[in-house]
Amino acid sequence: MPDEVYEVIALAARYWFLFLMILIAWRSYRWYTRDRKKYKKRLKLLPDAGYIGELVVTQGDDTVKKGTCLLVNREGVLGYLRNNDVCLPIDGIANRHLWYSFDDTDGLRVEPLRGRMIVADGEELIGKHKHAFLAHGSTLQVGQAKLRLRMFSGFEYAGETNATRMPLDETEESPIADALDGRPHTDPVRRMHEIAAWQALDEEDAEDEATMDFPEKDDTYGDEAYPPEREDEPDRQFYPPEMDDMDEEDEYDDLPPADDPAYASYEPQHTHPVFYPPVMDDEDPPQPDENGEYPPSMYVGNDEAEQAKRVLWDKYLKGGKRK
Amino acid sequence: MKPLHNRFRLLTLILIGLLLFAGLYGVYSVTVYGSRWVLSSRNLRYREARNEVIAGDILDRNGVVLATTDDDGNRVYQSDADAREAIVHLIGDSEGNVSNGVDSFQAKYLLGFETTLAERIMTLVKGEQRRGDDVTLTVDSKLCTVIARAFGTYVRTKNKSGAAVVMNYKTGEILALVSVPGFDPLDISDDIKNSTSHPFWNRAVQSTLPPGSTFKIITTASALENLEDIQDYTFTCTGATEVMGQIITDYGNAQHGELKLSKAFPVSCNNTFAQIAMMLGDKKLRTTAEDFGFNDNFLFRDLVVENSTYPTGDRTLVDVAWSGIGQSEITATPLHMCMVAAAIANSGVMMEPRLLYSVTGPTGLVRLNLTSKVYRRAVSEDIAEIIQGYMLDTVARGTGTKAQVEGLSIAGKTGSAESSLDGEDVTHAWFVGYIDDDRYPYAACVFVEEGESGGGAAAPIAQAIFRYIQEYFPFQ
Amino acid sequence: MSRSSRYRRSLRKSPDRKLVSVIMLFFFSAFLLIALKGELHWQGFVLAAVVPALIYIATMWLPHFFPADKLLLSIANFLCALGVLVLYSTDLIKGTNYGMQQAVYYGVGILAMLVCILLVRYIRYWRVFIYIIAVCAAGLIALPLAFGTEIYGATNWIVVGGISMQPSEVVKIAFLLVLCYFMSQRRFWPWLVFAVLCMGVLMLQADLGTALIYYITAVMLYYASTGNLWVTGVGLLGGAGSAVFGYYKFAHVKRRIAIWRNPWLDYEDSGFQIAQMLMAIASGGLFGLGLGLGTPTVIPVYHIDAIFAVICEQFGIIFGALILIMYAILILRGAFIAHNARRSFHGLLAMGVTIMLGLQTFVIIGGVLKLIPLTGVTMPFVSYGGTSLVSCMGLIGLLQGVASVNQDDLKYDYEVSHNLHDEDSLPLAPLD
Repeated sequence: MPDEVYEVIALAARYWFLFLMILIAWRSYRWYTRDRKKYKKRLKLLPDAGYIGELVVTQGDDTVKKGTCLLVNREGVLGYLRNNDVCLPIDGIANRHLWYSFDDTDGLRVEPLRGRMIVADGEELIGKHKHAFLAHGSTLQVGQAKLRLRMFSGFEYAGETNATRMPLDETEESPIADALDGRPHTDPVRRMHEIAAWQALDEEDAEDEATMDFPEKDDTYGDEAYPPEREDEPDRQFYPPEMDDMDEEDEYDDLPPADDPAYASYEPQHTHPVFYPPVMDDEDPPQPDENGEYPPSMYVGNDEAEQAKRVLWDKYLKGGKRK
Repeated sequence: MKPLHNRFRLLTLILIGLLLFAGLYGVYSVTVYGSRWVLSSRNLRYREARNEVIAGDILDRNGVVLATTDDDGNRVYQSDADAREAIVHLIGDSEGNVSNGVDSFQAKYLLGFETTLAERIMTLVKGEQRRGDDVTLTVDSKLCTVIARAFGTYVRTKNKSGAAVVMNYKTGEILALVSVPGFDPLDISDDIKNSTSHPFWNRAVQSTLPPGSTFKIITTASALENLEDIQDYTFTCTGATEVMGQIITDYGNAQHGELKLSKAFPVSCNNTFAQIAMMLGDKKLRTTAEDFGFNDNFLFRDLVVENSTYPTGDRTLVDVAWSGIGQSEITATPLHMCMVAAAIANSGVMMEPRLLYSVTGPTGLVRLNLTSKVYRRAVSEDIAEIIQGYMLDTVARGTGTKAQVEGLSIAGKTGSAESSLDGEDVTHAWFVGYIDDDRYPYAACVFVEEGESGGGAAAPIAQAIFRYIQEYFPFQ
Repeated sequence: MSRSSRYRRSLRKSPDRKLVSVIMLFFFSAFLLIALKGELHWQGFVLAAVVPALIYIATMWLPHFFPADKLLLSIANFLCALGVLVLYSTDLIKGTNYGMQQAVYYGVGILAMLVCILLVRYIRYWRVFIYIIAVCAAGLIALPLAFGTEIYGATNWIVVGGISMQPSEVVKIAFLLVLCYFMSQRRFWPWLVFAVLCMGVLMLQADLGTALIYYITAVMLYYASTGNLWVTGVGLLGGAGSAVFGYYKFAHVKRRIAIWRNPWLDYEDSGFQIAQMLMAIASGGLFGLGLGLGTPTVIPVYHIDAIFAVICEQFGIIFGALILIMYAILILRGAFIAHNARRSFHGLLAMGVTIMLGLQTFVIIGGVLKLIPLTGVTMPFVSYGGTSLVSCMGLIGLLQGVASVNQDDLKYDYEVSHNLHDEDSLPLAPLD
């Protein structure tokens, strides 16, 4: 090809290449922003994403009340400032107080920063290079606050071997009572999982039924904990509410559809906990009080706590500056 | 992790900022400095292009062909040797001895780099060899020849180096740009290459020397701006002003006695202006000088000019006193001093010097036409008017009488600048002036190296320039 | 519209396909054009078919087999192919073989990238491994001190059987791993000792550009992990101090600064490179001279340092600015990945990779544009150079490894938060 012709073609082609390059840059940028938005949307669906548990305040002060739940992620810093991953604006806590890091088998490793003091499960730690491992139910005392770690489900068994958990002492009252709103979950996803969990329990019990002796009706939790026997199936101890065929006589129609306006004033009929934590030796199983109500569990599965912790988390995002 | 993420965000911002800055800087420097880099005579691309493209013609404003390419591809200039010598610094020669002549600085037009795609396709289709654009300059080559001849024949300037610039102060067009000594581009011998008078230098735009008393225009402007009632103030000139152990004298040890500014300017009294400078102080004087373009980085579109400097930094009182009369490390090029005079003539508005009258493509398509651009406003109209009066007085009654032309009202300022050349003290001659007539709105600056006296050596050449303009130029 | 055709339509519109198809078109037309220059070269036509196909395979098929991030892959592949294109166009003028060699190195680079992805994704316990890496890296970087040859003024090359390698490029990966591991463990001294060792060796080898990048990366990572402004400030001052010290000690640093200010003063000797680069960029103007036109080979070392000047000459400075935007998107993506990391080790690693690539790009482009003095670093992905390409692909591999770990973590969190880690099926549509 003669040079002049090539030159003319190349001169014309440079606009073509520039146009394509603009297109490439534009499309890359759009891909990047769209990906970001998608990721953020996904994260919103999972409000617990990245968090392995929460620290429940069992002794705090006026700003941080008992029962406050502070979400704990895999790795972070706890301190007074809002800038930290766990913000605890209580006297005695430094701006950045301790560093924690979660290991799947070893548990939550806490390490105070230089010169800070913490008490983890009764063991006093001061300064760098001293660490302790916490597990589900371990206590932690920083400054004037006492906290108890509650792991989310899936992580309960982390640190089983490492941590030495202390029992609740008498000064720790039921922490959640002050903080609860008492509103049930309206999240349809949660409800769907509740239903699935009920069904799972049902299958489990069906297996039990087949293999072992049918146990005596247990009166520990009272009549209201259990649904009354259905006429056609007298042997069933308890059954999950089936959405499709609910009889009006069924007292366990207690899960109306999500958009039901009556839901707003819904009171949970059953307080039978879905999951209970492994019971510790000194701890008695929860007893009903005179009204027949059970203390809400401070551990895994208590949905009111889940709800409340989110409300409190938002509230405490505003705190954190030193006086 | 949250503080970690916040710091990540900060670091990302820094990185993105750096990259964006680099990108913007790239685009900026290519658009602003690009022409200068690409037109450096060492750019091989242009040398190669000369082999493939027939270089376009360079014409003067009257259509005289200053340079063209013959059939063998060689550059051919005017037939008259004197004319060639006069215009060689403006146009440049084919060996690149003159830096930034039109032949190389406007190579993007002359070598056809600005041809549009459509034109190139047409040339390709027709099967012709590619041809560059024809560039018509604003200069008048005959005026250049006249100036060079005046330098060569006048007694006070014979065998001396110098330069002259003539501009249209209303539009900024350059009518003449001559540097003496010149040389014949067709006859470059080794003697010329090794000559001690450096004939390859374009003194009009490249030599930066103290402007001497012509700087008093700027001192006057500064005084009128900053000192109240300076026109009524009576100065005393005793012939010698002592400042910090140094003595400032006048030319020829003249003593002017008591005089006001309106008299000090036409007689160019050093003592007065030294006192004015000391009254102003360095900062105010420098500010006015910078208003006139000193310390600017000249990036004119059509030509390359060395920057003029007014020293920055701490200066002693005696330095300021010398600055008032244009010495003490102040330097300027003849082109810039012409722009200064043109600014005064144009009521304080300094126009950017323009060299290109028009550029036409090989098919006749006009690519560029003359446009004027205001470079900056140097002084206010009122002050300019006052200085205009002073300058008229200078030529009518003062030191510039040798520039008078019958039938025209000439205004000007002479200057004798002391400098040292190769260790010896020499005095350069300057004259800046203009025609105070709307029919001939032209300003000129003449500079004679070692000319001794501005009024004596430089003014007569200016007279020759103005006479030529009066005779040959049509009415505006 | 039927479900399958709607699905196919959505696939066609998916962002990766859109981008990759434009990239393929770009290179197809570019190689086709360059093949037409002068006599018709069959290699050009082969490349016109092979390069787009390779890009398609590497960007669309590879992620099926390995956990890779498609956006990063697209940008990296685009830049590599651009390098091959520009080098091939200069090959035609000079008769060298840089384009083909670069294509071969690209294959090795892809392998390195995959190794790094798997490294980050599957190795969970770095405690012992990290020391092995540190020792090997220290040995590798010190190797040129013993057997090195000096090329382009720096003694950091090893020539083995005709192939020249730069260990300091490969050690970058180890450097980042060591730094990030110890910083995430909050242990100060191990990484400091390693970093000082590396930089000392680099200064001895007179490879000041790479040393600068290592140093600033270390300082920035330190600031990110601890937030200690005082010590960071001291570090920066120390860097400035050593720069001044280097200025007075090394003669060629003085020369570099002098020609940065005004390259035309020393035109014949040291200023030649910068002057030619500037002339090349300016000749290109806004839109460029055209592919295959211009005289890029006049610039010394045009295939390594000044490749950006060659690109700007042929395609224009606007094109060059768009290339910078591509690098910027790479950095944004890296920062995004670092932001979503759950563990500080991964976050720091991703950020370290981003910083290194970003700094290297800025240093070389700033040098070419005369914004900062020219140093001897290469332009990531585009410059000719086996080790440089392999190390950049390795860095991108590290980044993608972190991205895949993030994806895994997100999936795990999703399952766990919905108490589904024992279930086999998820009620909602799965993530990727």
